[in-house]
Amino acid sequence: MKFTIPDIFPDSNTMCSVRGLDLNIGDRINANDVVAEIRYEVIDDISDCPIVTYGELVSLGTGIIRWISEDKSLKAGSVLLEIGDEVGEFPNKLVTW
Amino acid sequence: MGEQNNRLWAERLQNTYSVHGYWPAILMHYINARATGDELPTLEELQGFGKDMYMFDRSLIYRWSHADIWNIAMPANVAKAGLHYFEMHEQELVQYSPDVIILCLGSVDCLEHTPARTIQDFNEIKSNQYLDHSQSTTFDYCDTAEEFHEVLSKLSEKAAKINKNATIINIDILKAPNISPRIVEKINSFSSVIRDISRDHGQHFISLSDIFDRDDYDEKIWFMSDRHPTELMNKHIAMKVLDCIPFDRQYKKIDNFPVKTLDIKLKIGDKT
Repeated sequence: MKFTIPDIFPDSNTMCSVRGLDLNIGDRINANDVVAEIRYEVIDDISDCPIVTYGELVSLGTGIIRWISEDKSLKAGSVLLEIGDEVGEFPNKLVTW
Repeated sequence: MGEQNNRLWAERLQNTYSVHGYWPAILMHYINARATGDELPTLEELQGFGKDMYMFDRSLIYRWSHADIWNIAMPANVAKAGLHYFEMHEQELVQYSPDVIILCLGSVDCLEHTPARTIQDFNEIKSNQYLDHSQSTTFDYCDTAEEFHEVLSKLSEKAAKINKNATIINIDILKAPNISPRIVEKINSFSSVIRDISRDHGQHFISLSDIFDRDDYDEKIWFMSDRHPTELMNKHIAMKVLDCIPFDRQYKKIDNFPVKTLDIKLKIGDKT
């Protein structure tokens, strides 16, 4: 299943920096595991207060990691991990404080 | 790129806001009103002010009847670039001898943003021998509170040297909604730095909680949906800054400004 980075600014050109991802192929992730911190930056915002936000990407399911994106700078909505052999979207959520 | 971004942002301000240039423009009107004993103008009364002007133009001093402002604020700026600007233009700033110096830094550092700057961003006032003319330059954001403390300490010392009698005000508007726990921690540690430095150097300190009361804060009224400051936030900042400025002091008149001046002739109530 595809574990994608949620697109929280869907109408904007947003780049995501994946931080603190400490997982390997073959690792198991469980529900409520914090997978990584994501830094979102709306790159077409040219103002003096650029739109940048951070959240923790949390798994909502369980499975074995089959593939990890080597690129840690990705567009919002990109696939970060492949988990298990099933097709479809792997459930996750972005947690902020 | 820095220059182009400034221009694009100026165009956006032009189309989006009525009181252009954010809180410095509002503050100038408040200083005038306070000096003359008039009531502070409302945001409605300031509507239409500043058309075709952009208060982030750092090569100009804006002159009102009771105040002059040299706004050297740089959009999307990190603390190290601010210190660099102070160091590069110390001589001009000493000549200008500002009565009030307001520092508002740290937000961009907390966003971990490293904006590119061109040589033009730094040599508007005079040529800058320390930067390579063929390149754009980036200044790294402060990663830790210790690093931020070091940079802000140097800035505070510079500010005191520029005019030892100046009223120096540090503004902390670092807090942002909906961010990760690590960034919350970082913002809190940076806020502490601003507060500590203000205390240690005997400077004024204005925080977001001073600017808004608890109810406003909960409503996140200080940011619009795109997280840019609202006119209301700018009004509150200007009001708080105004309260820090002593009006009973005799200020000296400066005629020999280091940069061009622009006279602001708008009278409140006169919209033409």
